[in-house]
Amino acid sequence: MSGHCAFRIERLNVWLDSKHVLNDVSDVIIPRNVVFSIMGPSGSGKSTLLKTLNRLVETYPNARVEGKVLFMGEDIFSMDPVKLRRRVGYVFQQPNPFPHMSIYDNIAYPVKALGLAKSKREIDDIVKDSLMKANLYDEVKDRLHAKASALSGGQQQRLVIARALALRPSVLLMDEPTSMIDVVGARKIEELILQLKKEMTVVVATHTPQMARRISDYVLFLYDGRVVEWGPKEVMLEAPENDLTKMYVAGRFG
Amino acid sequence: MIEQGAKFFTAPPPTTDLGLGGIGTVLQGSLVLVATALAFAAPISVLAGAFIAFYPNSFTARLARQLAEVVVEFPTIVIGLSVFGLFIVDLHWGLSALTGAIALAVVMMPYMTIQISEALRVPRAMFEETLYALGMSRLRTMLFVMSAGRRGLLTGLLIGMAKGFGETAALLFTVTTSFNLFFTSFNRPVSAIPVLIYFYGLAPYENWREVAWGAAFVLTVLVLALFSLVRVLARGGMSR
Repeated sequence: MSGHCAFRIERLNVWLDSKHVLNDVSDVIIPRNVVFSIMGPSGSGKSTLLKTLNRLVETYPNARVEGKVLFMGEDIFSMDPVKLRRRVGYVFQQPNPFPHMSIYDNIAYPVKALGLAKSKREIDDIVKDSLMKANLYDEVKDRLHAKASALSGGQQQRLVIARALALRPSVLLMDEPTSMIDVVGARKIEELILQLKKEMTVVVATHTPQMARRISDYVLFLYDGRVVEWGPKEVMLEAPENDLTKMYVAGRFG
Repeated sequence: MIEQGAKFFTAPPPTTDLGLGGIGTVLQGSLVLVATALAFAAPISVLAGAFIAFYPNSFTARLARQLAEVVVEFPTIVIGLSVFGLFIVDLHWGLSALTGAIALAVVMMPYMTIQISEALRVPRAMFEETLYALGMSRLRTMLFVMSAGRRGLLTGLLIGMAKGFGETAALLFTVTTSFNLFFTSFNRPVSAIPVLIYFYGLAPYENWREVAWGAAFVLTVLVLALFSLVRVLARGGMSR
């Protein structure tokens, strides 16, 4: 069963310093080729949960992780984290291209550094393909060698998504990818997320039930480091079992 | 200096006879000393600076930073005396270009280490997590950060060099005051511009004092040139 899902999480606990950030996250299954939203107010542990899935949280000197997370049936804590992160891409809340590099190099650099392409031709193809998949190619094709910092916030975020896609991940983790972006830019990214699930699993952290409604197949409600409940979007947003979820979805707090 | 023209840069300084001579020996000595000191100090400073920038909270990094900050404030004459005591008296290496360079390296290292660790702090904060998230190894992440902060790295090395050219006290014990010796090998003594300025500036001979002033002018231009370069680099910000 676990081989058929992207992630399976059991008894996961994470501490940052002495703060118990994730408290016994269990029985969570993230199926393949879906958009899975992790919804919750700020400070509920959404980013930490995402960063545990690609073991980024372990790069923090103050982090401690316990529990079991299976990725495609394999225990992530017995995998090489560097290799895991190549298969599980990550998009940060704040668009973070390499500002001193060109649009082209932002994608070409990791491709070259990780030895994913041999010839210039191959790199060119990956750059173009990734930009197209991120719905950015048409906007930048005439200025691939301009600095990435010249792009708008929304374009920068799509460039960062293209950079992650260039590594051909099977899962893309996105931490509130539209919260720093204007409305038009945000809509483009939401459209992109829906496209991407054809090829990969997308796990998105969001604090708004509205965004979860627009993009998700599944929604998990995280509150104060605990999973309140999770399930298909229709159930979670229309008829949740838990009162806390009902209140959150209704916008009564958060 | 104007009287002598280009010869001022190549001729040895005058002895007690008349005539002006030049600062050829000490200019060469200073260049050899600073270059050799840089060869010792630069790799250590770059590694130490990178370590402090990447593991700021580790015990080793805190210790290294404390040590650098203490040595920066240390009287350099004590460094000179210590190098003299250890290498020349205890190890019998004799006055040589090598011992002079070691003393200079000790003086230069903390300046460079602190500057380099500061220069790498910002690019590390900017890029480290992004690079890890892209599946980069720790080593590759460090190399990327160093490359992004390479102007700052270079600035650190230049500041160390400027410090090295001007340093006098650390050299008083470790270079020769026979100012007419050209560099021949690392185990033969050389001298340096600031030491010449000290001895010739106080001399009772008019021509010696003139040479000292000329040397002071050359040293000032040299250090100003290095700092101008530092300013140009600093203005450029992060480099591609």
